Amino acid sequence: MVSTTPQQPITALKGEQRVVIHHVTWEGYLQILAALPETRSTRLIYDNGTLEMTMPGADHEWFGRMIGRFIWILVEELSDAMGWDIKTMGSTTMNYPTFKKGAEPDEAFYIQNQPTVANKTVDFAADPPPDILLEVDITNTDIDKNRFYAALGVPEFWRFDGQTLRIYQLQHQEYVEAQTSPTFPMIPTSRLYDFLEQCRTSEVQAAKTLRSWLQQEVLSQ
Amino acid sequence: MVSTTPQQPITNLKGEQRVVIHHLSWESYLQILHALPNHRRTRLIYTNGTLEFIMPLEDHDFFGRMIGRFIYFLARELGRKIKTIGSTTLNYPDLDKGAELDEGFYIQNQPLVAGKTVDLSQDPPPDLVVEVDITHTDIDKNRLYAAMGIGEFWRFNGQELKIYQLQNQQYIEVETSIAFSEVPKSWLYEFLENSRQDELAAETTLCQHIRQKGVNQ
Repeated sequence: MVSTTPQQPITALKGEQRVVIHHVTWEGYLQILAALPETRSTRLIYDNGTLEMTMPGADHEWFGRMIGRFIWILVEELSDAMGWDIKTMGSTTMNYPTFKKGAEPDEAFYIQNQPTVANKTVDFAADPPPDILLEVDITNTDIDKNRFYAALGVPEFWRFDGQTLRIYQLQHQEYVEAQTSPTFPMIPTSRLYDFLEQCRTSEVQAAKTLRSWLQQEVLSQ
Repeated sequence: MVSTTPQQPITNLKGEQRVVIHHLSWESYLQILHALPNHRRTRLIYTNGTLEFIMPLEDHDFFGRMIGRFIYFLARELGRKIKTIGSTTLNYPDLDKGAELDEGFYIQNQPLVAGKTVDLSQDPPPDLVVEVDITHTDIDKNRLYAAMGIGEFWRFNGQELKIYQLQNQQYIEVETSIAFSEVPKSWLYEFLENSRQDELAAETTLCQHIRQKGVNQ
């Protein structure tokens, strides 16, 4: 079993281009959001006056999609055993006016709370936040994302820097780093690294390998 | 006389961070402009549906300021008029184009805009525009500034200055500036190199230079 992270050095990765603007009001942020086209690769995150625009590069996008797919496969394979379903939020804008925070994450999923938001448009003012949220940040971001998503009450935050995945669990409104995902305690992080490594040569084969490992090693226990 | 460009390789320079948005209307561009604070480092350039946000980093800022200062010293020493417009937003709704420059100046047309706020719907565009682009930009700036009718466009990539002169609505690369035809590019390279060591000494050297070379004006 390969337990190392992907081999490519982080500096060679196409991470992000970012632009930060300070002293933007909440109303200004909403106006900018409204003015921008709905379909765009640039994502906005707004935290109490600071607006960061992130244009993801090729490697950023790829890691985001692959990790999202990894989570999706885990839920699908474990759905019968755990009684789960999944609702994919993608980069849907999550606006919390009371906190003056808004974000468009790389991936976000409802799993445990899927029944609460199934078959409806999520209303972040009334509905719970997503259960797992993923951000890929290969280059430096000016936003303190741990504080940010902890404030929004996201129970589980996955962060990937192009080499290492860190999983944070919300405890008393703060993130504590966890060795394995609280949602998937039976899945070691090394499985994700294997999956990413295999996806570099064959995404289909990587998915098959992951599914058969889950069936043989996890579901048969 | 030093006639080479600064020594640092371009790839090591802290140039810009950029974010581009496509398929944006003129009205949406204006809405974004108004939503942003007036004082900000990030500059906006809009042309026909494409909006680029540029956040200048350290070396970009340094070169922009120094080239602006160089132009100011030339005007002063050579007895020209000059009006600095800096990064004021130049909006041309009819052209579907707007830009916030690194540096912009009225020189030949300074008398037309002296003592007033420039109104681009009536006043001429700046005579000389400077843009520093160390990293790739998606905007075709030559087409952009040619469309705005800017007579002279200086472009600096961190190593080399290119000077463009507007002829029949297109830019032609030229060796020397129109506004300062007596000044070779090498003076700028020398000024930038000296400025990295000592900005005040660089000014003194440049001004002595202009006087000693006996520029015949």
